[in-house]
This record gives sequence, C-alpha cells and structure tokens, in this order.
Amino acid sequence: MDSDELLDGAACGDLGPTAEAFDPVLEVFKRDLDFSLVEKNLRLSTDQRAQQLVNATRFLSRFRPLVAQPAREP
Amino acid sequence: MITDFEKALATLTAGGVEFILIGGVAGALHGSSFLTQDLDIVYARNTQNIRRLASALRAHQPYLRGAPEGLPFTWDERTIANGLNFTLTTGFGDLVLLGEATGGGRYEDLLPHSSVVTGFGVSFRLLDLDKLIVLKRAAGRPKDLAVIAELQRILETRKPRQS
Repeated sequence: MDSDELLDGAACGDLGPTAEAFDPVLEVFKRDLDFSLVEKNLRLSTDQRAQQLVNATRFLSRFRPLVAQPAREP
Repeated sequence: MITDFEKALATLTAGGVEFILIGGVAGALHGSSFLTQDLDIVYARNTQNIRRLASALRAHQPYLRGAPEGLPFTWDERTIANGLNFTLTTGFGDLVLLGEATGGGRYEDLLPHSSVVTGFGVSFRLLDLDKLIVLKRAAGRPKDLAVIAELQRILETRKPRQS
C-alpha cells in the first residue's frame, strides 16, 4: 500500500471500524471472558485499582527472581 | 479486583495446604508479560489437605464468584469433599481451586512437574513452564493463544537449541 492509497481511503471516509463494530473473531474471544472479574474492577476507584496493580507488580518483582531459570546453552 | 497474590499464598502456606500454583500467575512468574487477576491452584484431594484447605480459607469468607448474594453456601470440609473445582471470591481476592486440571490431572499427577519456590516467608509449588503450556493448550480457549505463544517463546529461550 502506498501513500496514494492511504489518502484515497481517508478521502472515502474509511477510517477503520468503530468501537462497537461486529467482528466474528472478537465474538469468539468474548465467549471465554469471565466478566465477573471485570465487574469487581468497575466497582473500584481508580486509586484502588492502582494500589492493586502496585501490589501485583511488587509480588512479581519479588518472586520472579526466585523461580529457577535454566541458562540457555550457546 | 486483582487478588492480593502474596496474601493468598501466605494464607495457604500458613495453613499447610498442599497445592501447586498454575494459571496466569504461574505464567507471570515464569516471565510472561500478561498480568492476571485471580490465583489458580491445584490442591491435593486427600482428607487431611481438604481439612487444612477448609480451615485456611474460612476466615477469609470464601463465596462462589459470580453467584447471587445470599445463597446457602458453607465453606467446610464437606463442601470441598463433595465438589471438585471451585471458583471463589475471598477477602484477599479471587481464587480458583482445582481438584483436577484439564490436561494435567490431579495434584499427584502434576507434582513431578512442579518445583518449590521459597522466599519472603512463603513456600509454594509452582508448575513447570512445559506443563503450564500443556494445560493452557488443553483448555482450548482462544483468549489464551497470545499467552501460549509468549510462553513458548520463553521456553525456547530456556532450552538448548537443537542442531
């Protein structure tokens, strides 16, 4: 695709899908979503969500180095 | 909400519960960049361990995640013994307890594929990366595909190259 084609697309108003546009691939992914997890997040304040991220990040930064990782041979 | 992973593991460890950490947190500990919200474990189904599991979590008010409030749910040895897999919400966050994991079997089956992680006052078994990928693949969920791809790349960096 060259720049002329990009301009043509924009000129036709083809700016890509809207947020809610149907996509069968996304529908397949949605089937596995456990939205009960998200619902709880939505009830939290931004500060509370940030604190949880801090806790999770702290946990991973502390424990990742404890997990043995065999060195790759050259 | 994101589970307080450290508190959850400390609770299980302090209660003497035999379990193996699997799922997204295990993947993250192996180096995955995907951050998960809940903690997934496979627990041993022997009588003593069921008793320990019931006791360890009781104070944290486990309840069935996503279930309407007010259902008659009692967290005790009988409930655990009569069930197998539990998706719970607790005082420290969301916890998935599996008596049997798809593609991996029970605690005893996974034990040889796990190693002990010790530090910061807790000690727990972590499922090895190879087996973790097997479990993720067996689950067959499209949303896991990106995670599996990343875990495979991590595995490739660890294993000697075949020539």
